Amino acid sequence: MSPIVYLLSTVALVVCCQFLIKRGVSGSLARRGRNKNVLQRFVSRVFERHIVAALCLYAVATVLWLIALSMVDLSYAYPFVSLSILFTVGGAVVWFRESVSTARKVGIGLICGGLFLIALT
Amino acid sequence: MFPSTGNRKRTGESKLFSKRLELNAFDALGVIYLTAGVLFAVAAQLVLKLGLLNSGSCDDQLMIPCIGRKIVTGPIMLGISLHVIDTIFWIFAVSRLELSFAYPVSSLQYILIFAASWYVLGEHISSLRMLGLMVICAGIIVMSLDARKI
Repeated sequence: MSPIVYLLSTVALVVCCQFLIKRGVSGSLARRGRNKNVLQRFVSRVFERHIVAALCLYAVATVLWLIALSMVDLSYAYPFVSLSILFTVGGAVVWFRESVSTARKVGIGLICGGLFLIALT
Repeated sequence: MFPSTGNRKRTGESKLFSKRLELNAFDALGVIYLTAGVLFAVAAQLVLKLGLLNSGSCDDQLMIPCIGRKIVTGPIMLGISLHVIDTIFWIFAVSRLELSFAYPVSSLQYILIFAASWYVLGEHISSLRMLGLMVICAGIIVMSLDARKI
């Protein structure tokens, strides 16, 4: 398969991790955290099911990243990490109803433009 | 180069953050965490790529088992550990610094990785790739202009 498929899958998984972690910490804050010591709170936070799922996905993403990195230059592969910003912000708007300002839209546009230039090489 | 911060209060945040209303770009420990995070991130990618280069090609084998065998080798495990450390430093850094400061500094990562790819790995950095890098960094800086609303 083309290395770009592996790079994009890595990005997609990392973005899913961000959503799962966000979901995990938002859910647990309201329900937990009272009448517990720091260690208990830490354990309940880390072993929250969304967080566990996110960590598993992250391990898969690492393997995909290594496959991609074994196929292409580091200076070609690494800028694709910035694509995760685009999808994370997009998902935050759609699923978490966060608002995005003009400055952030312009910034994301520039990131995509720069990435397109690198993908051409 | 440091953005001025003042005593700006954040509004509309959950109680979790209410004890940390005044984040500061001058926080020395935060800047140290941030610098360490960037350096560990660059080192991690460099070690991973070097580890993959030195462990032979996967061309004539099944990809997943081949990568699996490579992961258990020293350099790849070292690279992954460095990446974990970099993530921890980043979490510490953003808990002490404003994102509008931390974000643009983290784009240094891309520049340093390009420099390392060229200097250590001997990769060819074409002018198009260089232009792409500069546009991405500009994008991250423009995004961060608004990070204080996060």
